[in-house]
Amino acid sequence: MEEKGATVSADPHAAALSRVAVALAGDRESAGREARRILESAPAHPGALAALAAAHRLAGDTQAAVEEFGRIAGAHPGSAAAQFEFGLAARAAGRHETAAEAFARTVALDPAHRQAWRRLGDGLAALGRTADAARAYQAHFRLGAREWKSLEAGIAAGPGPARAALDAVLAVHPADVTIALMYAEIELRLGRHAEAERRLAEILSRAPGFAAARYTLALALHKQTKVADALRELDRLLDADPGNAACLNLRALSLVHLGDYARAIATYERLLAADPETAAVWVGYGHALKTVGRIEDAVAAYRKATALQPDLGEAWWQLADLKTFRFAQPDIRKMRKALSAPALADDSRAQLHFALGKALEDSGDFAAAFAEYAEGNAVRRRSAGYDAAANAGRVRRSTALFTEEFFSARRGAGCLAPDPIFIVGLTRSGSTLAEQILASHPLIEGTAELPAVNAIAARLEEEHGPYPELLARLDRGEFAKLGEEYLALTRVHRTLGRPFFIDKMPGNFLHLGLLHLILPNAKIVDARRHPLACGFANFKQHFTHGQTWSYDLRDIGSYYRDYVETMAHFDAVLPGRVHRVIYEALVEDPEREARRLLEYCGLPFDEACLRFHENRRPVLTASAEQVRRPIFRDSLEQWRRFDPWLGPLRDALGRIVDAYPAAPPQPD
Amino acid sequence: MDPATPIPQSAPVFAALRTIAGLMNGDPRIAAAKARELLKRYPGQRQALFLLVASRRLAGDAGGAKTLLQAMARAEPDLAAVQYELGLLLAESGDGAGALAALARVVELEPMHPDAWRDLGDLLAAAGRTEEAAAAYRAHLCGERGGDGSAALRSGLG
Repeated sequence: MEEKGATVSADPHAAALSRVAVALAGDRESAGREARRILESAPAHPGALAALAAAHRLAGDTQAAVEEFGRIAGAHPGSAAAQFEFGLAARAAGRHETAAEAFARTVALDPAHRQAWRRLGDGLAALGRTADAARAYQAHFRLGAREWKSLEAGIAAGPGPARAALDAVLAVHPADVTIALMYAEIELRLGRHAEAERRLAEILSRAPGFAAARYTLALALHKQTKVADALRELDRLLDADPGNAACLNLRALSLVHLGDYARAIATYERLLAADPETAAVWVGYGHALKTVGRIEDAVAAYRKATALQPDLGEAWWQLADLKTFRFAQPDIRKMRKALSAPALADDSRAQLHFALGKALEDSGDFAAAFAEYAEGNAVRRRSAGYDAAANAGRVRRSTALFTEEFFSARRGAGCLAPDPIFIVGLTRSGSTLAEQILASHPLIEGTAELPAVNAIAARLEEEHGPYPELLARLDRGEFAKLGEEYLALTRVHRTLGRPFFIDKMPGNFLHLGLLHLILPNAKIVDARRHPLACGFANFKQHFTHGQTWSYDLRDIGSYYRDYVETMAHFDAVLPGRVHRVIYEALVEDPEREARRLLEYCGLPFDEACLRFHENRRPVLTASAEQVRRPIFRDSLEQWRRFDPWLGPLRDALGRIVDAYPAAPPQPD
Repeated sequence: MDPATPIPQSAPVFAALRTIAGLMNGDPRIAAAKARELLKRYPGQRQALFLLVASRRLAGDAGGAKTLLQAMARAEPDLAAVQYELGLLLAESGDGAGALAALARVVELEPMHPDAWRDLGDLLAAAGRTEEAAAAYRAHLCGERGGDGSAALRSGLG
């Protein structure tokens, strides 16, 4: 804010000043008299002085104003407001030196008077006293910087104080797009992507050339899986600035999300041609190469990253995550050396522990491997912030809401398209194998783990309050619109034009009620694996995002219980709605399970489904390399080598272990 | 490389502004050039605009500042801070009509702007448009910045 406004609130002379303000439009002389009367009882009242100045201006008598304010300033030499008004009157009369002197007196009396510093700077600059003028301008600037100090303090204190501080500025300066951008960035950090998008669109309507805002908009769109829109914004930015590394990087990531790996790889190559020294870009590049099955190239890219930055945990982990890759002894030494640095960032430290655990497991040292996995998990868990009780509470709220009666009352609602096949469950449960089998069918397209359902649920919660309870308040017609919205959000991922497509986001089991309501004809496949095998496989896995439950054996057990409870509930209230694929059964007899799966989907069997490993489609998950080989049985019993350390997982799972693959009769 | 949520992507602007302010009494031309660069990245940034205008003044080139701001206002007319600084420069250069249009745009975009109403009142009074000037002063004095007076004023100013 530039200056304390001459407002009248909480002022004993407010009513009188209001009368003066009104009188200015009519009887200016009386307005002047009324202002003087206020000044008699409240000498140098800033509002009254401003009103008197206005009366003089309206009368067009600048000389009289100088004389009167000169008298007032002389009578009240300790009043900054009086000196300031005298300065303004003198300046209007062309008496610049007198004005500058008055402004100098103003700031001597009130060093926080921003406008006086600025006017003083202008006056001194006009008089050729540039050094003094610069100092005055700097004082004006420093006072303005106080506003940022509160903003910076707010931003440092967290989103709440930051929003309050930004709101205060925006209330006065709603067209300040820099402040508005900061607000949008905070919304983005809070995961309020739709709100961030709305604010950014408004910013860009005011300032279409604001590249930082457009980049942030692209990021907000990217996070909402509006990938095509994100790419449009990025391409616009890149037209103006073709070498912009941040834009190229986000473009490559968006293309990966879109499943357009050829263009993603080309974008990474463009980025690397300009800057071949950034290890993290090599990792992204390697990831895209791995996804399309160019494993040797991917390994070379990850190796390049480890050479450029030996402590970049992500590069080591990506090598480990190929599953088929074997580290050599020098690699183990390098990882240990990187881990010995006390200042290593937590993210890198965690990934190095996971990678080292994999290296030691491959070499047969299971105790040491488990110790590394445990270290990696401990580091990740500190930042993951998983709340097992809260998740169990969410599951119970969900099962309480989604009763048979609830669904009966909404029968026939939703979008009737049969296109999606949702594969849900836990990560590392064989879902990628089930997906690959289905995606090898000529009528089904595999896509990826699509975040669209999460995005819709998050938006609904942003707009309507607690989820899933808000679903009880939605009209039937809304469900159809939401189903259409889901199809629209995912359309961009369907490049083969097949009638069915797979969304393999495992955590969608937490949205089964929503899925059934908005897409009642969609298929839902539950990929399930032995709880100890699945639990341990998750424990030794590092995930780039999400799966916050997977970094502690007890949390994993608890999450698995929530999952079993959820699925058992939906089996009870919507019998036959969900088809279950048991991983061990699938590995034992792929043809039998593939036939059952396709029968559930209402599709004829196709031999191609058994040759899933020949399918060259991109695979993004941790199982990417495993599903490019014929049925992979190695992992069935791997967990047994670590059984001595899995007590906490077993305890948290309770009766689920013995009941597997069925759910226990009642939830533990 | 995952683009972390860019907090505080825009906050470094503060540090850049402090650097520019520090340059003002050394070489105001460099300060002005840096302020201009910053404005390309952060359009309409209030403090950067002030530093640009102040530095140009110190360099004896208020006219150059006016030309720059006119171009900015043409490119992005909805940035209140650009219109405000431009209004002040135009008023100083004797272009009352241009100054009036700029400041009227300011109060349209930011009715709670703390300074623009009074400056606008002064310009309107000087132009003999006393009724509108009185409304502007009233908005300044009484905080009726979104109220009837300012609405009438805005419609009067077209």
